[in-house]
Amino acid sequence: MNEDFEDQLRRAIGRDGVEIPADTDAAIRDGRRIVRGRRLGWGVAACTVVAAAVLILPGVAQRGVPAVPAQPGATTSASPASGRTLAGTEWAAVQLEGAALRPGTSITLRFGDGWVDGFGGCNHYSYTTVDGKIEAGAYRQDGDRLTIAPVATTAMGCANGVGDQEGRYLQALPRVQRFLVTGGGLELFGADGSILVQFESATPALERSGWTVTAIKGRAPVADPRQPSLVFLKERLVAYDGCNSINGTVSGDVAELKLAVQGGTFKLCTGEAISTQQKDFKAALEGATRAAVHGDQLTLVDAAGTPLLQATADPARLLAADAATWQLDNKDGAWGAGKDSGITLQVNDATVSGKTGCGDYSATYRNTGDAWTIDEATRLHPLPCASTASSLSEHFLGLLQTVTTVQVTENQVRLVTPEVTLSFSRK
Amino acid sequence: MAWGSRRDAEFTAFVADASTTLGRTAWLLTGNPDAAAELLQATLVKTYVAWPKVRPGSAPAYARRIMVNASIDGWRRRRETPGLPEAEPGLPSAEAAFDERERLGRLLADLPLQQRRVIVLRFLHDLSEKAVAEELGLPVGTVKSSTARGLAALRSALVEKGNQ
Repeated sequence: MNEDFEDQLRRAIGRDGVEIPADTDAAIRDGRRIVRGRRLGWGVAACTVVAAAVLILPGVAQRGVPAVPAQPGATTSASPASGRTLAGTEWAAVQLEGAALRPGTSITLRFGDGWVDGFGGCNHYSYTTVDGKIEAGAYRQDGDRLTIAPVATTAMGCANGVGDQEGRYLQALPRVQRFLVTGGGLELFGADGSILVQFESATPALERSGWTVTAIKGRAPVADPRQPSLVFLKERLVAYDGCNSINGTVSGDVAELKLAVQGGTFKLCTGEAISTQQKDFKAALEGATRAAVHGDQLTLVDAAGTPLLQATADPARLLAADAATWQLDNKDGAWGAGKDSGITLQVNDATVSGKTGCGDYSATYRNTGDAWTIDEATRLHPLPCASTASSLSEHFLGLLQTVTTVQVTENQVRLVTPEVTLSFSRK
Repeated sequence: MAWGSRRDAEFTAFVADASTTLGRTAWLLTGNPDAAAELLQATLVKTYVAWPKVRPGSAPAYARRIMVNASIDGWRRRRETPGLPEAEPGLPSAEAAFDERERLGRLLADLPLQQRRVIVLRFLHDLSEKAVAEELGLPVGTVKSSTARGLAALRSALVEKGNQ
């Protein structure tokens, strides 16, 4: 009887007939905005998600990159001058046509290789290509001269004046004639020398980031014993070329990068593949003049714009290079244990380890980016302890095995499990 | 090449494969086509954002997990009591009244959320009790009891309807 009923239920709820439409383009568009928003420190996108993503050209559509008009003789208090390349930089607007942005709104601008995109405060804007040529959203930089073609944008309805602000911003972009990078800011000037938009830098910082290398000079690296990696600490580079560890220095930022190799281990690794890789890896580091960070992807580029090395974000490499001890602090209040539990965490290239309050533990792990799998922990040097502490210790070790995601900030490591999030702070 | 084009291509293929099942899951969890469409879209956006950490081949399960959790975090907050599933568009009302899936769908919407999630995962996705427990982060015993209670409630409601 039970089986009959269960079969009946299985057939009934699995039967075709309910069509719930999925909008892939909208999901990609909104997903991209959130990815960028996270990198820029935004919360969840503020605007309502609508089902359809429609690309439109604001105002009168123009095709191709407009020519730079002759500079009028208008006076200007600023004297824009900058030889700095804009490709690979990201910016967040602070002023539009001399006035601060509306409270609670944000406008962003990113320069890629010949294109711009960003967030207008309500809609995401981007570029389009026709036959491989960038049309809407193209930009051209010549010294301190800059022209930006009208961009393509999504068409969500925007409330409370945000749409008006966004419209003024999008209409300002094609009016830009020159730019100036000053300290951490970018100013875009119109034909009369007035500042149309003023930005502060939102370019992702390389400092405190870890990366697993996925290609060197276009070739997949040798992954045995593990893939090469890069970690950017404060003005310091820690890398692994597939055989030896490398120490070096980092100066500049993603737009003007200089990496210098200073030393490292001298292990002998035989085989042509690995020795070629070591040579190419070092050349890629020393030849890089710029880094492009798109989401969780890093590309080191030389002065000619040639990609030298590609990598994907890997917080495990950062944690291993950081070599810090982290203590459970339970700041998220998600679990009934805090600093007094004595639970700590250390991460190296292959294992997580620490103290449970009733002895030490060690467990191997594997990760792809921030998705982790931690194996069952080995209990080391067990100590006699009270039943409460013992129970807590076992609960913690059980939770470790269910960790799905690891999030790293400068002073916090969060192990996310389906049940709770374990929050650790730097000890 | 536009940024993220590889991610977009993979994600688009995933949506083409998985959206029907995910859509049906959303409908059963929410009991409302509009809310289901919203839940499905939110799930797809979250899955896109998490795409680099989704292991190859595990995207449908990953998205499903996001969906069952989102149905708690979002849907429940917005509406204390889920609405009944609306009659399927295009079906004559008399026929809909006797449609097995429609009738069960309506009864399913009356179950407490946890029982509904368990029933959907057990009987739409054919997951074992252990797999459901892992998916929802619940003890296996809770899954067993939720399944039993959910089935009993459904059976009892069907009997009542049959006697009417």
